[in-house]
Amino acid sequence: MHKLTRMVAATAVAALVSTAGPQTSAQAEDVIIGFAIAQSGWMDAYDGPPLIGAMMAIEDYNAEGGILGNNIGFVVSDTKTDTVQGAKAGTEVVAKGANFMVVSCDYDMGAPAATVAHSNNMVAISFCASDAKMGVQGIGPYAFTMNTPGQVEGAIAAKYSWDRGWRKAYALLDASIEYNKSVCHGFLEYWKKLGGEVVGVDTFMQEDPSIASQITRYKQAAAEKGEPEVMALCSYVPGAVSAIRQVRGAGIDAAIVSGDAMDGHYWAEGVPGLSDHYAVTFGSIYGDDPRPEVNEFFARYREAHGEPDTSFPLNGYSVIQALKVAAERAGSLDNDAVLAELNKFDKEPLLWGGTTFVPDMHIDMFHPMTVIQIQDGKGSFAANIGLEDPPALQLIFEEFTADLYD
Amino acid sequence: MSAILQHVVDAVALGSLYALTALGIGLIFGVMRLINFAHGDFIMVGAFSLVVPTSAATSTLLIGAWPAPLLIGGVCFVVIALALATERLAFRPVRRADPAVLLITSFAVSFFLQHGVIAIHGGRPKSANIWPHLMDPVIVAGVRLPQLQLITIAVTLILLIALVLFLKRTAIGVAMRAASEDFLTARLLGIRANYVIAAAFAISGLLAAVVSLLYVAQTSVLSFHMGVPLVLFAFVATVVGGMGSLVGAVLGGFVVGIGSVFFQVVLPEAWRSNRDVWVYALVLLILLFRPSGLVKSKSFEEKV
Repeated sequence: MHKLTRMVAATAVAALVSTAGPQTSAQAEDVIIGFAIAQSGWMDAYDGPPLIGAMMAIEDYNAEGGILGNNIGFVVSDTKTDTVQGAKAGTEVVAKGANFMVVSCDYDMGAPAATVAHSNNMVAISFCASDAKMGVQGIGPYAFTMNTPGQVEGAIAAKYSWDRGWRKAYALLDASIEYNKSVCHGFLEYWKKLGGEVVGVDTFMQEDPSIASQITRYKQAAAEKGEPEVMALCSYVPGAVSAIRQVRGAGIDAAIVSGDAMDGHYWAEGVPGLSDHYAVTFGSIYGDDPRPEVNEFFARYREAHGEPDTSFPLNGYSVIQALKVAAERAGSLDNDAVLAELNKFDKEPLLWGGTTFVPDMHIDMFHPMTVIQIQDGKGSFAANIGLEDPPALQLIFEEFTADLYD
Repeated sequence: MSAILQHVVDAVALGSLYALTALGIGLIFGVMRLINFAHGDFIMVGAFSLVVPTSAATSTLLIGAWPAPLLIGGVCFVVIALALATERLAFRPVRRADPAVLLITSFAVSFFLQHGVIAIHGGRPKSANIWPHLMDPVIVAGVRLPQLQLITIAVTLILLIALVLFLKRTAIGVAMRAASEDFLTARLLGIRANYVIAAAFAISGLLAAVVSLLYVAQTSVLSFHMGVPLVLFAFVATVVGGMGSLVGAVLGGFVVGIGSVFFQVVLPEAWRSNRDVWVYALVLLILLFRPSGLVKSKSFEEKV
């Protein structure tokens, strides 16, 4: 029944936001949000849910008078999960009169459109790119992302592990993308700072059909230095699921911690009866988040769009919320005025949590994150953790080298 | 000692997977000079046939929920039918064209299948849990070995023996070998090209289906992109083994798989993420000394 409602809901959303060409709900006096995001190709699955969140925010705010009395309209242009098409989509929403731009949930896929926005002196916010380059350093001062760096997620995973009383850790890094390296880097750095022991660090690749030799090495390390209590698995779906299946199949019961790429439990069918998996992410989709506004949001989401797969719709909602708060504080829709207000965000209470931006850091270093757990194949809330001492800036932009941890 | 045995089994099991994939590619190359890059997508479609087609993120088993014999039969049927359909609809019309055209056609088929799967199943990878008990280890000579690895090796051996018997003992098998040696002469002697080529596609479909099942049982992963790395490694394996030689394809598969595990084991931590650089360096080294691959196939040497 849920599947059916989800399919119907998905079709309805598709009908709402995708007919041929960029569509628009805009009228003359509107403030227009230009979404240059993927509506086809593989990225669609990642941009779709935050887009639904953003649409919910637009509906909510229009019901209470829009932004500065302007009705919020939107235009959507499909990047087709393609970087060249991404730049075209950016140009297209600018040409359609967008005041602000929203780009894909990924640095590589979102950067071309964000660059177009930047060259038009237009604020662009990525739904959830977790690379600090989606900001001043990679695109320019007009670019933001509604996420924390992977290093902070890793550090929070380390803090959670330490708080649970675990002292021996193993890091298994999928070295295929920078995000994974950031998570492992943050984890190991913070783990050492806390005084934890690193039993071993090993790497695999996302598309490896087998991690048998990594498991053999893990077992050797465990035999020599003692069984690790926690494994930081820095990877994403599906490679991570393959790794977890093989790790658990080999009888390794250590707790597994990972970043927001492992949010939700839609992927856990590949590992029946999975327990002791912890992901650092934005909120719990299971109705048990300590923040009532998050539970209320997902109840509405569930009603209109079916079961959420991840908590990423929170970020989509927060992007629109951030633009509204900044524009109203500036008392203007002028991009430079809005930019100045965004730069002043200090633990700004957006739906996904207190958000901090500073003029040279447009990714939230201090964001408190939610740890969700999977026990017996079921997901639930585990903890809320914010860091007073996030990883140093140089770590955020430093390249990961595994031999740092020998 | 036990660690060495473990590494050897890890290596041979991975080599088996590559060998089966390389054999599927080698077989088609033998009969029609087509490097079928869509072979990886046959594997991918086989994997997706296990679940109900929907764009929902969570997957529900379809063929994957059937009892083992039906499940295996079902996936084989789907992939063989797909292989035969691509042969009939995509490759037969361009059979006489330049090999480059055939190659491009195979890329087109590959993109078509991948984007077809994205359209039906969505772009997000899915999981399918088949035969989880195969992940349980068995104790052999005091070493805990995953059952699935042993099964992978056994299945590969059985299929190799069956294929050899098929090629040597059956009329169609002999026709296929003749066609792969000299297609024109074979036709002049009355061998029906359509029949031989379709049979080769059916066998390569069967091999792809088996790889699907072994791969999904191991990883549980369903992704539109899952066939691409497999087919790349397998293609390299056929080159290392010697284009046009089936024995070479199998040998090449084992070289690439075993080399990959070998470097994973011996490289220091900091270099391990660049493991494939070393695997390909090994491949280049082999080709430097044996430019036509490990097993020379007479019919593919330039005749002066």
